[in-house]
Amino acid sequence: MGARVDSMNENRTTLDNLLPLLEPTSGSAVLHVAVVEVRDAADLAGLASDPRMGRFLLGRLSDTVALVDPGAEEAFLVALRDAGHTPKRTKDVGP
Amino acid sequence: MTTPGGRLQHILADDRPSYELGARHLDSARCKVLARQWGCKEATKLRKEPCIAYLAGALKDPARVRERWNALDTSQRAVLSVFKRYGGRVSGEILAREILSRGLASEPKTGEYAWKRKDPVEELRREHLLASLGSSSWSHAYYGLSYPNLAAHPGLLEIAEVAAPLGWKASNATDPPRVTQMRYASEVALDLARVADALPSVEEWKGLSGGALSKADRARLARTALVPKTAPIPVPDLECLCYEVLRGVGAVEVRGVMGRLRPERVRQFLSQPSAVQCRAWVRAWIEMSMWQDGIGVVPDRDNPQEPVRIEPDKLRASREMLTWALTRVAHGTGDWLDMDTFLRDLWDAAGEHGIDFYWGRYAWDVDFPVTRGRDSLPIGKERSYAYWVDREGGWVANAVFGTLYQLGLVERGSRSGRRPLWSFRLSPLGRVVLGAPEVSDERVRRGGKFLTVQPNQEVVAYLDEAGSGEATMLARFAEASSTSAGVARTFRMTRASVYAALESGLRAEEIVVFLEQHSRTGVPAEVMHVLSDSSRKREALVLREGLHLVGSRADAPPSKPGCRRLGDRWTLEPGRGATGLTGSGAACWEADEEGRVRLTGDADLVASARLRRFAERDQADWRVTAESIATARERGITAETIVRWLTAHHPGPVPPSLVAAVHNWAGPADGLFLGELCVIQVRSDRACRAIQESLEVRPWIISHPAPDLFVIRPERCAEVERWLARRGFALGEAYRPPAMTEPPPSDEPRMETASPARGRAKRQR
Repeated sequence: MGARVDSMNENRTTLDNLLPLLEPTSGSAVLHVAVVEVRDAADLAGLASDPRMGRFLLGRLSDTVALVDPGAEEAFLVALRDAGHTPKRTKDVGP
Repeated sequence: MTTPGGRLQHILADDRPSYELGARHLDSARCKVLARQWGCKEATKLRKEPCIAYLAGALKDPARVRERWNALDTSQRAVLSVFKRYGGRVSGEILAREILSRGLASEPKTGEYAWKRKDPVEELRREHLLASLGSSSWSHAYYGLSYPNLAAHPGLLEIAEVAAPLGWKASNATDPPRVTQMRYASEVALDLARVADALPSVEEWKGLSGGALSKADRARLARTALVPKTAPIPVPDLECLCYEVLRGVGAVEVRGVMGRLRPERVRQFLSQPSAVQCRAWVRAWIEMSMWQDGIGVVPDRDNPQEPVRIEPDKLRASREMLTWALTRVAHGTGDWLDMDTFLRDLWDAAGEHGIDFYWGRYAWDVDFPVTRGRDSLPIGKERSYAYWVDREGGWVANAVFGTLYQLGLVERGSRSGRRPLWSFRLSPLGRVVLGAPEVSDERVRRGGKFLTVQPNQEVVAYLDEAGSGEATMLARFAEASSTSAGVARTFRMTRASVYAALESGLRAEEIVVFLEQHSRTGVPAEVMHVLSDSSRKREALVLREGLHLVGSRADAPPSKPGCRRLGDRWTLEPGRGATGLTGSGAACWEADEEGRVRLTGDADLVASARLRRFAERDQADWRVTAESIATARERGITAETIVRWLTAHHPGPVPPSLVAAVHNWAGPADGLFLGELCVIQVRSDRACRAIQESLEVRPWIISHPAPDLFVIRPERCAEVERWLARRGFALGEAYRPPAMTEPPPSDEPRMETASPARGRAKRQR
């Protein structure tokens, strides 16, 4: 259990360096954006540390969700597929 | 497309609303007569408007309609039965052939008055129980029995029986061919799916006038779609035939010259039963004008002096007439029909002008014996027939043995001899589609166990056992390993193909059920594993698009239904109707030449986040430095992206020196020369020529950038100075700088003009 907590903290530190957490400004709302969601923080760190995909990420909204640069969704999708990922594309907010 | 009983409609039946009395276009006396015929006893005392009002009600009154029906004679009822067979409206050419074939009227004799002849069609027209369609209200007897396009009163059609189908008997029996070829509906559907896959799925494309693909797109389609070619009878521009079929069934939408694929419609259409699809292919073929049988793609405009295509309206009528003849063949004995005999019988059945246009150059150039020596034949029927076979007969051969074979309606075969003897018969699918509604589609219902699934994810499909819907379903999640024609095709389930299927809306469970339902050997565990693995991996990385992102306080109440909290800072909401982006284009950065970037008050999340990716904090502001750009490069962010962001968020033009710096820091840096040069500036042409043509000085000149300037090698400067002094030039004048030229308008600054030129000019003394 302790090792798992350590690993999570380590991932979070790595993430903070690679993809800082985005802080909302007062009344901030962004319309029609795309976010990428992965299973855990390690996967997000993996995405952010790979320049092929990381270039399209602006910051993270949580430990598993990152904001994609508006207008670069298609290029991000192509980059993901070229890197061997098989992303699901949806308009759902998720669970 | 199907009758209420679930059977296919007649191939030439048309669902469009048709019958209209058009009483407003009749004169008052005619309205009165009609009203009286429909049971209004006081019609003679009424004006036109009340008559029209009465007729409007009477035409829909079942009792009145029944009275009219009872008043009709047998031949008139038989005519209405023919109309019922075609769904209520019939083209004039087809109607004339039906009437003659059924013996309801005869060809008019020369000099015979039309009103004296017994013609039930004309009788029904006079009583307005048959109405002309569109503007074609007239007919002429120059080419024999002729009618305009007509529609029958719908109430009478409800009472009428459907006319029995006409049969076909070949005037000469023929032996079955030794070699035969047939295409199954599943093969045709796979070709269509291949062409649809090769078309752009998202963006539109620019085609030619009339909606055909451009030449470049046709070449690309031929390279990528790889539709198997059909030897030995060529079908020109085969991919374009598929394209036009897709267009005809609504899977490709064309507006003006812009085309667009409708992937949902493609999937929906290709999942239908074979017979339903095939009927739509034939309908699309009848209507298509930009692809012609035996010719291929044709231009939208023709040159009357030198035609490049068959006139589209005539070709449409000819295709209809050929289809009509084939519907009769569908109700014939099912024997093989040799080409020469079929052409003769078709000419007899359709008449000399049933298939009539001017064209004689086809991809499959058939050598018909009857056309040899046609010029020496005496004027008469045989000579006309020989010329008809040479022109229209060639088209019929290309249409039947090429196009309709390609669409799976015809089985063709040949017997070798001095000249191959070609013959054909309708395929089981062709009999169903062309023999509708009498012939049931049970004979072509497929979809049993047509697959063998191997542990290495290879799937062998036997297309003769597959329905077109099943074959295209397989092609959605497995790649065809070979494009060769044949009924046994190998497909391979790859990670990419399964992923593409899942992205198109198919679920992994549906694929498993499909394989279990159609596999002869079950589904190996390895395949199940690949499917579940692909599905799991896809679920592990999700791109959620078109959402609204709302900042929320940590102590905010739980998210609304349909929304989702992300940690304690953000809420995701489903995207609603609003369009446009907030935050991706706000001009909220102010940047200077030194790379300082100040956020103005209305900076939003996207602008702030972007800035943070390539700039570093500098007290209250941000600063773009070589180090911050290097960090951004490590993250994969290119100079072009940074400049794009700067341009999007900067209220005016971004300082060119900052743009140049970003490019230089991101590397490779623009190279330039900065150092000392020796320059001679002259005042006169005489001095210029003296230097330019001197054998002694010329080797020391590096360049001659302007008429009055010479750049000299620095190490030769003293020697040049002595050379000039010996020739009496007055050295020591001031350097006169040329006027500065403006850099060309561009986002990319030119380093040579933007950088400070610190070269020391050697002045003339």
